[in-house]
Amino acid sequence: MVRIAVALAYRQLTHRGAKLVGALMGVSVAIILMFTQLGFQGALYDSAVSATRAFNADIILTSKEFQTMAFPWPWMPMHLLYDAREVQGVASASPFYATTLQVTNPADGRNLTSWLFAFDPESPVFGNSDINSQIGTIRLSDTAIIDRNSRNQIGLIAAKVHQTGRVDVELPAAVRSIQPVLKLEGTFHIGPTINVDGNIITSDLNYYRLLGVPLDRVSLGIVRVAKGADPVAVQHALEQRLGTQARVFLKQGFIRNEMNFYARDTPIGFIFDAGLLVGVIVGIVFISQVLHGIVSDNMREYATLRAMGYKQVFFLILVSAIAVAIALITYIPSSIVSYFVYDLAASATKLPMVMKPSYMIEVFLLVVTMGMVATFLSTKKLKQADPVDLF
Amino acid sequence: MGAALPPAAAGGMPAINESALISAVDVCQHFGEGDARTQILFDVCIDVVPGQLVIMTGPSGSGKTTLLTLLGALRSGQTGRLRVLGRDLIGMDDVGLTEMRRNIGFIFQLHNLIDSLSAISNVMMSTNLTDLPKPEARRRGVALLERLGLGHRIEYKPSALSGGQRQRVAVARALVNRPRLILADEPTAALDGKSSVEVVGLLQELAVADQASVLMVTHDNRILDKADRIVSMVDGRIVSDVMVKEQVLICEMLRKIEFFAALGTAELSQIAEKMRPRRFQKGDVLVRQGEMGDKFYLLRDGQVDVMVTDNQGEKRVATLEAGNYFGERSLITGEVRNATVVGGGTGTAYTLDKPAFDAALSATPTLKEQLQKGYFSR
Repeated sequence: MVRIAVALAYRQLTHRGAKLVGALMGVSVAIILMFTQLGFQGALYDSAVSATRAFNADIILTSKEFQTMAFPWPWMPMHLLYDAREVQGVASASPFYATTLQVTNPADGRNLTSWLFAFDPESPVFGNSDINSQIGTIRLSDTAIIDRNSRNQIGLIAAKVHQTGRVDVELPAAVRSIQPVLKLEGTFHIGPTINVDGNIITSDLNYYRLLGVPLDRVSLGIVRVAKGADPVAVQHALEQRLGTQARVFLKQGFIRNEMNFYARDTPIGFIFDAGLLVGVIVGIVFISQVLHGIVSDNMREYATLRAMGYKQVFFLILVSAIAVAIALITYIPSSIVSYFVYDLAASATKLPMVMKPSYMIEVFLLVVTMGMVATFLSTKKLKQADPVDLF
Repeated sequence: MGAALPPAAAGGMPAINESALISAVDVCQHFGEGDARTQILFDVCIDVVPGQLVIMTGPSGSGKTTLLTLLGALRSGQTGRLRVLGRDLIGMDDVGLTEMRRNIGFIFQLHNLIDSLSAISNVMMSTNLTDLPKPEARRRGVALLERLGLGHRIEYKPSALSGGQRQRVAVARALVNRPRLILADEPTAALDGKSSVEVVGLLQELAVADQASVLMVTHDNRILDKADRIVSMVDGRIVSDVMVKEQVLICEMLRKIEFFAALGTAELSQIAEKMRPRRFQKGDVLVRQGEMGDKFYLLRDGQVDVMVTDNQGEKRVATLEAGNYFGERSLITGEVRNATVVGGGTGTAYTLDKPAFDAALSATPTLKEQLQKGYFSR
């Protein structure tokens, strides 16, 4: 019975031919919208943790008051890291400094905002080889490297650094004569966050020299566990030791904490979910439109089949097969188009827009759900196919 | 023409006829609710036995389509008894009704084929509901389409077929499962005269000849002469139910009876219409000596033995055959039966009750007198 229903669904669908094009395009737009929403949402979350992901860390220590990297980070005292190093299973506990930094755009004299990350060149915190190969560069005084994925004006500076090997930028100060100058002499890849266009990395000493912030005020503690040690056990041990003065995250936990902040504590999660919902609704509307058209046009045929003894479940399978077919027909080209939309968006925003298998699956399931909802909405119409009306 | 006869429903309460494909007793149907409730069918009784092409006529609004949809399990019946293909339809739930329809072939006014499917696929939408293996179903469908003259159009979609061809595909779809009952609603309305006669002829040839019955609502008088039986409805009631072919046969037999010979065809068919068939088996007593007579008998088929009992015991005085009649004497003279008539095998006799018999005789008063004189003088 299912086979017959599906075969008839195929026939009725193909029989409509060009009539379908408009509605199929509508469904495609809805699917692309859904992909875009998911892509931007994911890119936003991912961009917030792209630096964190780059840490060569098992455990991350923060001050007790730390909530999210999105707010100015409350610092923690350096001695906590010394304490951490004494905990069993800890191989290293390195300080990491981070702050947003104003630099003057050499092109037009306006101020630009970038992240400034700093660490002790003796104990690097990032895992990226392009950063670690330039430790020698950042050791030099007032010298730093810049993220080639930086966006907008900072992106232009980074490109210039890449081309010419060096760009000097001034840090704005009240009196021009004491304005420090930062020498950008290399590039790396991490990627900007949504609100800050670029990343600059330098040594802890340069950080102190440029900003005057005591190095005792650590932003994060980057902990590596000893070979063979269980990170979770070490996390517990660290909590025992530092629990009253620091928060102890596993690296994944820290990333999750960050993402949850955006998803729950900012309207961003809601905004993209709402966008996704709009996509789903638009999709349902278009699929329903196709189903409604097919059901209305074939009312007599369905009534005839009912007169022959076909039951309601046959029509439900028939219509859901049509709905799922529409979903599948549109899903594949739409995901290909979305792939290019991602590409375009990624190069425009420098955000990590990548088509992930999880999006493919999520959108696919949503599309099938759209088909099912549209089927459900068409059942009332289907029931109107009454063989008595054939007489 | 087979012995397709309505049941002996003339006297007494109508009862469900178990051998009939359709047996309706006192079926009433209402539409609407509350004040708007109107009765559409009034105490409809009809039996359809195998091998009949029944044409149902009547003005629009007479309830014939309602009756057709009730018989076809397309709507649920309200009151009365309605047995179709051995199952009671009144009170049956929707699922039961839907499954019931699988045993019935439907042909509609419009072909109602599925536009997106080829002729053979349309036909196979019927076989898909059965357990028939697909290759066998297809073979059967193709054979049927060939039989209907569509062998070269098997893979054509309805849009590429003419009106007559489409309706023939619809006929194939209705017949492919070899249903014992086919219900048709104005199947020839959209066809020209030639196609109409052809389609009905095919129904007769492929279904009726195989002991299936076709019940057809139609106003198309081009096909009336194909009917075995014509049922007329007016205002929700069956007002006439004529076995057309049987009628002709009875008239021919009546014409040969000397005291009806003087009657015209119109009068004869009036009598024929009032006659009711009575089936009998070997040994059934139709008339018993010594009882008062209340019926006139005309033997349609089979034979009966006439037995007279006197002082020496019972002896057979005659054997009557098709076309012979008996039982008239007692009606004319008012005396008791002078012989017993016993079935000599399976057969059918038509009966005419006394009031109708008297009415027939009084149509020719002189004849009546002669007859009475003749019988009383014996």
